[in-house]
Amino acid sequence: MEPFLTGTAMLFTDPTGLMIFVCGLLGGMLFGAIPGVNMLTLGAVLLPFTITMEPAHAVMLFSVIYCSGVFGGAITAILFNIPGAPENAPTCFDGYPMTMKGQAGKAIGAAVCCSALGGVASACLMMGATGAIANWAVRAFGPQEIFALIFFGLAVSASIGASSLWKGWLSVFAGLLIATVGTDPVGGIPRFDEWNLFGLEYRSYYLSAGIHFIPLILGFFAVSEVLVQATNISRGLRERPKAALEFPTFAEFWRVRFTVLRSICVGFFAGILPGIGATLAAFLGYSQAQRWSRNRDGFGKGEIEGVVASETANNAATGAAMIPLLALGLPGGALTAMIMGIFQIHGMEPGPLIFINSGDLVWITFAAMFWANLLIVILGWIQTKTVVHILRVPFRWLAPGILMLAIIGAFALRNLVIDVWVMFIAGVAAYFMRATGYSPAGIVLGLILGKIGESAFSKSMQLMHYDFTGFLGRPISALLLILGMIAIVSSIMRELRGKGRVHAPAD
Amino acid sequence: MCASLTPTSMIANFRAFCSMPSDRTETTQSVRLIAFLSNSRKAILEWLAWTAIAGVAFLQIGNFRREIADYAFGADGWPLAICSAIFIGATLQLVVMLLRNRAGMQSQLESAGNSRETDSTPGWPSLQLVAIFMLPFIYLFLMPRLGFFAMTPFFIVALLLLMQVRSFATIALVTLFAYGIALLIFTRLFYVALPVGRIEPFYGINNAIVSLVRAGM
Repeated sequence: MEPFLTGTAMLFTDPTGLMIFVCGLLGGMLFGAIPGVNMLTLGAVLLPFTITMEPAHAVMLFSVIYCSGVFGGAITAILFNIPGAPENAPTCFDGYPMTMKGQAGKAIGAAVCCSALGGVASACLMMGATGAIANWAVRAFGPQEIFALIFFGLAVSASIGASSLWKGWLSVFAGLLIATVGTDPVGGIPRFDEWNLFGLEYRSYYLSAGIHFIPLILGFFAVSEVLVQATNISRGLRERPKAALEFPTFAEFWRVRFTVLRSICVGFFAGILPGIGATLAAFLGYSQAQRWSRNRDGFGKGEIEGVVASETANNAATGAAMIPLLALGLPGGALTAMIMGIFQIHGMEPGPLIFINSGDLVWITFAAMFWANLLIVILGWIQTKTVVHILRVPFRWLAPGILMLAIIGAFALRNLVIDVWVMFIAGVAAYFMRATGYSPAGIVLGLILGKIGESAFSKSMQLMHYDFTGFLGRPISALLLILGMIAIVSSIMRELRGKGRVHAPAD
Repeated sequence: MCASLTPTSMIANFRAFCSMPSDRTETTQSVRLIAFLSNSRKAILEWLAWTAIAGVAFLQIGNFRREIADYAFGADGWPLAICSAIFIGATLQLVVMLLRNRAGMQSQLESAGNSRETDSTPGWPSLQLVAIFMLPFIYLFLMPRLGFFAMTPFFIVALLLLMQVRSFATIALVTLFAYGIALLIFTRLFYVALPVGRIEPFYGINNAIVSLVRAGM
């Protein structure tokens, strides 16, 4: 407790540090909430400026951006069905239907409070057990366990957002197939960069680098949403949602207490593992909430529990992601890799010794993450009372701005116009997918986990000398694979009995 | 009658007929047949689409079928498995949909799916709708040639017109706001190198706009 209080005191008594903390908090929320840019954009822009900063300030800034950025993406997911980042995709499933029902304030309020709860719980766990958890995770989780976890995650989350199990799985398979474009993870051989069809030949260096998920996410969610709304407007079907400012009641939060606890556990566990992070955490949190909910059929139609589950889980992953980074020097995602870059810029080496050599830095970072998550409640409450008013603006006025941001966001990623083409093609594809009950979120899940999954599978095969039973020889991977198989079989049985999912994300 | 039928309405009609005492058995049979054919056609079309995707990908896998030292499955093993999974998944979906359809027990799932489909895609799309879908692609084709800064205001105005905004003041204000914010944030603050075109005089115009936006920096 004492180091935490010291870190807090150092944070709040240093005017420069405090200013950086507030800027990071507001910047992360803002960039998370603008479709087309996200916390990674802000991180990439700020990274060069960290050279002149104190190392503690720089690491603290990025940690705070991480916490607030993950929450910020929920706002656009709820208001416009456009997630700010992949980890906010499951928030759309129930957040947007709530907006359409005139409960935007309630949805944002739930997202605010549960993001804060998830983040604070994760920060506390991080402060209490960084060393022990990091050592356990690294020893217990090899490529076999990572592959088994991805299999389990896909097995329980595949049909989320689709109108049937088959459509959910086909969406995920499509995402997995897109993820194979680019170089293979073992030999570095380019795949799908040469096309030879009916005598026509095509070669693209762009495809050698793989299809980035950012233009696809922008297309699947932002562009397709604009197309859907434009279609509704042209047919006179569009109804403007009511801008309600109602905050969730205590009774509503109490009703979902177990969902919150479950999502914290799921999010924290997924966050520790390098490369898995907040996206799978959010999908797993959502699917588990649906599985155990009494109101299972309400999911996808504007059930507050859905928003609570995904937002708690994705923020619970933020603190957990710092554990392997600080204790072992293993970044788990893009933003933690940038933090690793800051350490290197300043000639520091994260690892067990960092707690001894740079205790101040570690505890200022921990304290900043804790307070950032707590302050999300206050700032989020203000946002609930203000941002919701955007709904009063007719969508036809907002559409050009949304498309503009999406175009620039897709282009700025690699300064390639072809990324913008990919975004628009994905947008049109998603329009038809949504109309036929397929899940764009499933494609995103497959796309993000596909590369990690293939890499983990190939390493596992090499380690196990191509003996598939080797997966069952390790307790964690065996357990995850068996649970995944049970999930698949039970969902097929449910589907065949005609009790499958009856919802898809609101269009 | 047939022209206005959708799968949902056909099934509803079918159910309504079923509940009546039956001197209409033949009509019921024909409605049932129409519903069956319509749903079967949809299922088969979806299967064909997925099979085509898996098939095209499968044909391209030959382009990178190379051995990798120390890895028996090579670069093509994983994509091959996914193509097979897509084919199997699509075939299972087809079989389940056809069986359900045949048994005449369309689940709630299908009716929910169909009602959504009919909401969003009834009949032929209007010219306006086609234009909304085409506009981004026309913009993308022209943007690298004529430049982002010269093309974007026209794109915004065209989009607003297609979305039935008719007030001149609204069009002007929204265009100014969206364009202005984009320039201010991305060109002035973040120095994003947006395309300036390669055809004169647009190249010159784009560069002039960039210089103006970054004036004083």
